[in-house]
Amino acid sequence: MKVFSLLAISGLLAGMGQAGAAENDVDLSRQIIGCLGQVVQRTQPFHEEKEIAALTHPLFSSGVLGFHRPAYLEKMTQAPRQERLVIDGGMVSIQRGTGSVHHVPLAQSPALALLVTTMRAPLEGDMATLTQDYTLSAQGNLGAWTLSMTPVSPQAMRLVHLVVLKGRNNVIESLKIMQANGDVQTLTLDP
Amino acid sequence: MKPRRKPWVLAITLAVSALFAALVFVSIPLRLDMAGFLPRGHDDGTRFLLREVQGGVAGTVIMLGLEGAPEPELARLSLGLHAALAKDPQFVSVLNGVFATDQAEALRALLFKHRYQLASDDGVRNLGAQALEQAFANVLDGLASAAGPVFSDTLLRDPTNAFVQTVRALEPDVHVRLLHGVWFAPDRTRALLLLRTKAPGMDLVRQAQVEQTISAAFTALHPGTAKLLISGPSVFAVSSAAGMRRDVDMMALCSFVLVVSILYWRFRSLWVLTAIGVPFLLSLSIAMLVVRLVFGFVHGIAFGFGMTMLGVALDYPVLLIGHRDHGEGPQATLHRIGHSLRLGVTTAELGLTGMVFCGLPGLAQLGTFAAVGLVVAAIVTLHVMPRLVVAADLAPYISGPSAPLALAEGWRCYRGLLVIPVMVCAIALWWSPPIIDTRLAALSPLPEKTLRMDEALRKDLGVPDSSLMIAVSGGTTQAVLEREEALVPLWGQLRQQGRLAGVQDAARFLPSVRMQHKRVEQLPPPAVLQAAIAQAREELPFRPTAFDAFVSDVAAARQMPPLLPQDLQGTPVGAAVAPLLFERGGQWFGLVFPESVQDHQSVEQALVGQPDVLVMDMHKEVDSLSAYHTGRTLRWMAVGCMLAFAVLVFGLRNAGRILRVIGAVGAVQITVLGVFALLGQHLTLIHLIALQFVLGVSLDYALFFARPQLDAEERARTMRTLLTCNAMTVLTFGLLAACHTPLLREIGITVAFGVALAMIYGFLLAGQRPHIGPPNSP
Repeated sequence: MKVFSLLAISGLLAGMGQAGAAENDVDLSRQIIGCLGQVVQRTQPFHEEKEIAALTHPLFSSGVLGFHRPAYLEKMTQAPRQERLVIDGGMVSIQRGTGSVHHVPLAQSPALALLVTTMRAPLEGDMATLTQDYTLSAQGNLGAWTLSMTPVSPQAMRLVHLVVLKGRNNVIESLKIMQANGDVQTLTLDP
Repeated sequence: MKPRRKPWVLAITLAVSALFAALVFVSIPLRLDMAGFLPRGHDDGTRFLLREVQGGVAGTVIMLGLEGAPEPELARLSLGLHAALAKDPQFVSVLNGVFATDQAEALRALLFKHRYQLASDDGVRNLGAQALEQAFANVLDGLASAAGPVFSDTLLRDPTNAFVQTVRALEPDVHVRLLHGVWFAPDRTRALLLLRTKAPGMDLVRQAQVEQTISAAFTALHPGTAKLLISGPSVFAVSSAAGMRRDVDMMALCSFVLVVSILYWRFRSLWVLTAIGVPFLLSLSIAMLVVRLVFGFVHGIAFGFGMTMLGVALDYPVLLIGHRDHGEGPQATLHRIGHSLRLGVTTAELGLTGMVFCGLPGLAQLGTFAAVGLVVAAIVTLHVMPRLVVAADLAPYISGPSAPLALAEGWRCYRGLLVIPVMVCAIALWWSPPIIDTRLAALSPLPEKTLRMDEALRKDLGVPDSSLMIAVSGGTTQAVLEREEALVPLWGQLRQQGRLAGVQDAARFLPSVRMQHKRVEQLPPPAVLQAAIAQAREELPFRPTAFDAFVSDVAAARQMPPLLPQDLQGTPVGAAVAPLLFERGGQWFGLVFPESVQDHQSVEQALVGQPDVLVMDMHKEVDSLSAYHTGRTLRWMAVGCMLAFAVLVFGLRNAGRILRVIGAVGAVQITVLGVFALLGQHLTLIHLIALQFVLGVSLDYALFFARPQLDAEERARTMRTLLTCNAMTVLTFGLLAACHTPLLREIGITVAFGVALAMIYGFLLAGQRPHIGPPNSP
């Protein structure tokens, strides 16, 4: 499976990207992240839509997203094809279908590490890690918020254009990653 | 009525000897590397290979193991060492499983650009519609994966995985498991790192610095309970040189102190020490000079052994002074002991034939050093000493018969009892005859534990042990690379047959220009590729422009100039190629290291008839050398023993005495061999040589004890003097047993034990039985 080979040799993605700057409401962003971080464990079904520039139609998938402290995130895709992605501490393991499990240390793949930060750090309430790669700005209020993350680190700027999270209180409703190459990935979490 | 002492002659002689010795020591440096002790190969080809391998790439490999702590902690230490050492200019590469992203950025771009020239699997260049359809389906699956978006650009640019294939081929073949992101041994909790140094393996000064750097980096990480294991040829060279230095220094100092104390205790005279100093200094320095002239250098081991030989060489002056009575003239003492002394020297020399003529440079040096030292000591004793001794009127402090000596002589009545230990040993020998171990590994100056650890680390890290070496030669780099490529099908065959796991050579990192041309010729022209892509994606949801970058990459590859060695300069791949591909005297050479060779012979046979290929099987080389040398040693030992026997017969001319002497000497040999058999000790070349040396010394003792017509005074003198000699020999050789260098240790143990027995057996068996002795006894 090609993507796993790429994972194994790692860290080879070369893309160009620019970052937009945004004003932010620091207090609200902090509140939102703090609020999210209070949840010790969550399990939610998800639907995902990937719009990839090279493809004529979007790719859809669904499954269950699980998280618990500390630093454990599991994305079980059930349809259209089974896949299990586990991020535990500094190690990513991925198993597609019934194939063998591939392990990749995050230290070996900055691109993968960024993806992990983008997904896991908000759930952990880890403001420090998030702000290494992004500046945050928030709209709305705690009852219904929109959190925009704009890349600031060179690595993030190369890969990501913008990340938008939407949610209520300590619940994330959707996560939208707009990549620097134009691909868009939208993860909707069912309540 | 003592004559007036004239010790100034003695003092001047000593001063001159000391000056001479000092000159010799200053002008001849000691060599401490192991190369002088290893076989040098039997022809130009093998000599070249041994030299390249010992001094070349294999010598720069250092393997590290971390153990003694939980896995996460070991992983932390591995990452810490990697971080500290990777930026140190002393290291060419530091590998621990972590792919160094930042340092290899430029390399990655280069490899990505040249992927269609470098990837060895032709499948990646099969860009027909059918193959592409499968490849595109895989791309789609990859894009659908959770990690897909991260790699989408690369997936689309390289649908057939040419880049992955290229990078894979460059990674070392390691048999490790990846745990917490770093390499661990497959079967135990041990983190592993593989380093290569910039300094050549034989540059001991710089290699010692490298080791210090590694240890310091390790300590700086606060390792707690974790231990650091370091192994590799250079590490061995440094540690055995240091060990040898310590051994030589210790031997020099301790032998000196021991010998001086014993002699002072025996004679209670500084003048005696001065007198004995003359043959000591002269024999040591002349032996060194002769070894330097014969071999071109003096090895530390030979010198250390030479110092030990002091204990034997000094027997002669000690015998002279020990047998002298106050007031005796120069020839009086010699008249009594001269004959036995000459016989003793001759037999001791004959006891060294095995060592001198074994044909191994290291051992031959030891033998030559010892033989020259003995001869010089004997000549000085016979021709220079008498006048000096008389001039200074030197004689033993205590002389004449004494009750304990008489009592000891009384034990000779029970010498029949010695039959018991000798019989026990003979039976032991009969039950388990000595096994002769012809492995040359027994000669290795390295402890076996160290060798085993090295073997384990090599196996895990896939480092070839250079036991089978192959070199390919040609007029240019390209010719060498093409020769190496021509061998690839052969390696494939051997791998299929399970003879070896693979090979490491330059062509694996950098294909020849011809090969690169051949590869890009397989790529279709843009129009053909476009058509194939259009057909391949018909059933798949890719846009028409999805693979534009792929198409332009393939088109560029078709026009791209091939990658040359100079393009890789300064990159990690360049560093990997350099030691495998080099020029010597206008000729280019490529080294090929087979990995995990199961069957040396079939690999060697497979290469028979290949042009411009040199093969050397280190094991076979060493085994045949070792068998050859052991055989040669045994032959020369036999010659030495026969000559010694002839000398005895000729010198003693008395059946009874010959029988007593031979009986004493034979009993010593049987007992030593029997004890080895009881201990299950295999006999190596070293033991054989040491045994022959014991033979020489025990003959010497037996001859002195067996001298006829001895009055009680003379017997007491002989007893005391031989005890002194024996104590010196046993103690100095006993000191060798404390050595770090196994070769010296084995010699030390065997000789000390054998010589102690020689004294006991010589005294009891070779001497005449009091009162009930043969009719010619007084």
